[in-house]
Amino acid sequence: MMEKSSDERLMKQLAAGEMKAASLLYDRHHRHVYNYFVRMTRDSDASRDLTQNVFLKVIRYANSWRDDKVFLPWLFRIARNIMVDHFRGAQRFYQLEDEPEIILRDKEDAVRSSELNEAVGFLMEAMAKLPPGYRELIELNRFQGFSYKEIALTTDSSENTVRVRTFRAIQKLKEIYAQMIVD
Amino acid sequence: MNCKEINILLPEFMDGKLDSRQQQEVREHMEGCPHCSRELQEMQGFLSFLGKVPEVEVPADMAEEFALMMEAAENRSKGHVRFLPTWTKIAAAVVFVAGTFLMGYLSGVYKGNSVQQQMASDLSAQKQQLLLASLRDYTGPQKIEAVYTVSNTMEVSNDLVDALVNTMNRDKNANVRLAAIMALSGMIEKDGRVKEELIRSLAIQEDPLLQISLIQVLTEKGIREARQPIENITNNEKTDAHVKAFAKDMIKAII
Repeated sequence: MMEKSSDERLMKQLAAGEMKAASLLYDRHHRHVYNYFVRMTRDSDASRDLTQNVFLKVIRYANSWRDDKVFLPWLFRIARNIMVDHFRGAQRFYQLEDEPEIILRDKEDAVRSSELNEAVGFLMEAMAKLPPGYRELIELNRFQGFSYKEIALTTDSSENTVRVRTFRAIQKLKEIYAQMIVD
Repeated sequence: MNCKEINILLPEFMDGKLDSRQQQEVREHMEGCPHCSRELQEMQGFLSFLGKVPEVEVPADMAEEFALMMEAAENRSKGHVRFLPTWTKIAAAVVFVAGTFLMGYLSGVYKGNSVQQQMASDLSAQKQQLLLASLRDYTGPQKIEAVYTVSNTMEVSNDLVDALVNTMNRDKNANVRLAAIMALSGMIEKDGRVKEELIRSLAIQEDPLLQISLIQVLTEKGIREARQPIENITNNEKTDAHVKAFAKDMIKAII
């Protein structure tokens, strides 16, 4: 069986002009980036464009790729810069209230239930009420599975700051969610 | 560690990401602290719930759209490369031989400036004909190179515009047609007819990639006359959905 190339190896190939590497990276990661944008912005149309833009930038910036970089934090740095740029003009990012038009797909068939869907709906509303910085920590740590070290690399922060802030973000989300259930 | 410090470690404790010493320390703390033990239980339930949140489904045609974008980006970047294919070497040899003959001819018999200019002009015309012939005679990748070389080498003339327009509208190979669009887009300011031909081509091209490229060129150059033909494309029910979406965006943003 052929060994799967690491993301970093693919970036090296892309930097050398092999465009096929860009397709492989896209296939592997575009779902994660799209999910990141949808949960951060609650706008599926914008998320689609932002995701495509991230990967076009990956191609554009491939020349600046260095061997000591780690792909995923680098990819999500691009994603968060694009998101900030996208919302900067209208300052809409902090005012998003619209219901998301998104389709959810189960990780396992067995977990699908109307109760879960309702609970997830509440959770997404609770997420939207979190300050964007906290929302991002929840997104990266709980949904994207980033370690604190990877988040620190992505957000230009220290591992310990990420540890403390992620804990606070989870606590805050838990509080908002519990309040919504009670109401 | 106090309760506060222990609590901060709870997510990593549950994920099994603490080192064995810290893991042990948290476990021992839990045994003697009902408050933190309750906090752990609550946190466990909540994080387990977060773990069940389904993934958001990605639109079905997103990957296809990206492949199209990549192709367009690749073609655009190729447009900046100056090719020197084999046939240009042949052309150069012809020019060199003719030039050598010309030099001898001039030094031996005629020395008048007007004759020299006439001969140089003939030679340039000969070279241009040879270059233009390449647009008819070559195929596939060679032809793409020919388009770029012709557009980089020759002065903008009626013959050149005719040859490129013909290639843009009639060549069998979409990549060759795309190369012609890109070459012509660089000539819009130099020859008024180019703009008209690019607009006219909007109604001719059926390949989504070529339609997108034309729309991009015309809107980025701010050509207002292109608005109606672009709207015609968006209103045509046969037009590809990506092209429609792209056209709508570009009209809004640029023209």
